[in-house]
Amino acid sequence: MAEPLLSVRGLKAGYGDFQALFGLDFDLGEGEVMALIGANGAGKSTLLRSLTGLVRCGRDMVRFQGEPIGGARPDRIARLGIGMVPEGRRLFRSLTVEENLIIGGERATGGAWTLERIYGLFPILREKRKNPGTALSGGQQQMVAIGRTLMSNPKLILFDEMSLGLAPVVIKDIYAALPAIIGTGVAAILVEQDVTRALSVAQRFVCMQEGKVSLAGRPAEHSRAAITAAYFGVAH
Amino acid sequence: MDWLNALLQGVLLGGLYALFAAGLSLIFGVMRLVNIAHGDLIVAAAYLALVVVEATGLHPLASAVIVVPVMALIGYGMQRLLLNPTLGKDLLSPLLVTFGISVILQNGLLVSFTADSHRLAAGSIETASIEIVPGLAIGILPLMMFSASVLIIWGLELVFYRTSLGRAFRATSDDAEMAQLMMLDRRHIFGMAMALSAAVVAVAGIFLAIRTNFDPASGPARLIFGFEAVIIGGLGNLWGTLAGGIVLGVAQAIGAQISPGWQILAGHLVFFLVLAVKPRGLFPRMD
Repeated sequence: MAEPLLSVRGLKAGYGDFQALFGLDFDLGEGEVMALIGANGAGKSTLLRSLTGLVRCGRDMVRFQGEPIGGARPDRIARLGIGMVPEGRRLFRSLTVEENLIIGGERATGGAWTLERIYGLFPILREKRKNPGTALSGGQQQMVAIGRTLMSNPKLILFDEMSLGLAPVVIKDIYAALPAIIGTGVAAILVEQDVTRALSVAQRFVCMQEGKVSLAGRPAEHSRAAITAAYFGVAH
Repeated sequence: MDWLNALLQGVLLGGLYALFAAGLSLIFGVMRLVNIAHGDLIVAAAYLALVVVEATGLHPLASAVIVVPVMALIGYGMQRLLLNPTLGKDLLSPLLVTFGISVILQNGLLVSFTADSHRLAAGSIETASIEIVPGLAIGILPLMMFSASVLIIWGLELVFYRTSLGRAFRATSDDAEMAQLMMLDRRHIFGMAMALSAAVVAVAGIFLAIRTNFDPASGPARLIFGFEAVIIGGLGNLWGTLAGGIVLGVAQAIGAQISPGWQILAGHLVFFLVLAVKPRGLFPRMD
């Protein structure tokens, strides 16, 4: 079997004295979409922060394209091709929409995603390109945040709580754009409150509970009851 | 006419204060660092200009071709080696490091150059002036300082709002963590910000050395003037910093007109007045 794109082995991480992750193992292949589910406090965000280098972890605990990247600097990991669309969008508020997009891509090596292509995917952003990023609606800000990450042409995108705080109709729009993104062959990890939606677009899932993997596999392989049990931690 | 003259000289003096302040404002804006050593760096640049002028025979203003790049390099090195390792943990440790740099610079200059005061002789431009109307003259040197200040602030604004480096500065200032996810190596970005600040410091140091006597202990007063100009103008706004420098300069000139003893005090009083009425400064741009 070919080397997986991302390989996580025995990942332990936390903040100071507080440990949030207690030995995680999973693999992700090229172009695969994985749903990462679990209750609040299960450690999903800490996992994403470890993968991007914002939380320290052991060198060999995370491998990307075979290279150990655990604990590397965030900017180096980003350069290798892991991008994150963060929870709460976190646009740069003193930058315009277009500057937010440009800064996402200007240090990258280039690829399929260009400013034009982002505007093609989210036409409203072309209209608003001169506005400050934070003057947009929540849904439009999410489009900028996605576009900003795409501009770096990553090989793996981490989507953290993409639909949190957005109106259902807006969430539908954003998810409608997902096939166009994933269709380019980029792998993705989707952290989502809406488990049904996440599982419907993912080929694989990892369910976390108290900093450990409680269930993993393909959505079709497991009954809804088994996933619910793994999610809430009740015996089945 | 005396009062009008005082006002005019005050505005021009404000240009120098804006030069003291611009680098301070830039560093605070990009990395939320209050550089206590800023004034001492200005004085160190003045001494560097002195050494260059004595060694090469260049005109003090021409010494900028050497002093500016050397100071920029020193700034970059200082940031990478001394300040970056302390950033991000809390606000106090980098502040204390700059305080340490301040003490070391002052004493280092004392050992190398003694406590004697120095001045750079700039020849005829020191006293040359243009008479606008009878009885009202503008000195060439103050005018040059003011023009340099406006040009530098305009240049810094261009860098901030029109270049890739400026985008990186603003992004890092907005959200340092997200900026890292945008492949920005903040150690380098902070180094570049300090280099730019030190380049402005170099110009300020040269003008300071031509305008007044300086000695190794001259730094802290320059820090205070610069700091006051930044606060009066409002954090994060470079044009505001120029305005702050002018307000401070005018206050001092008018104070001096009342009585020489009032010069410095009048500046401080206006600073306190602004703090009391508009604590965020006259033109704040940053939260």
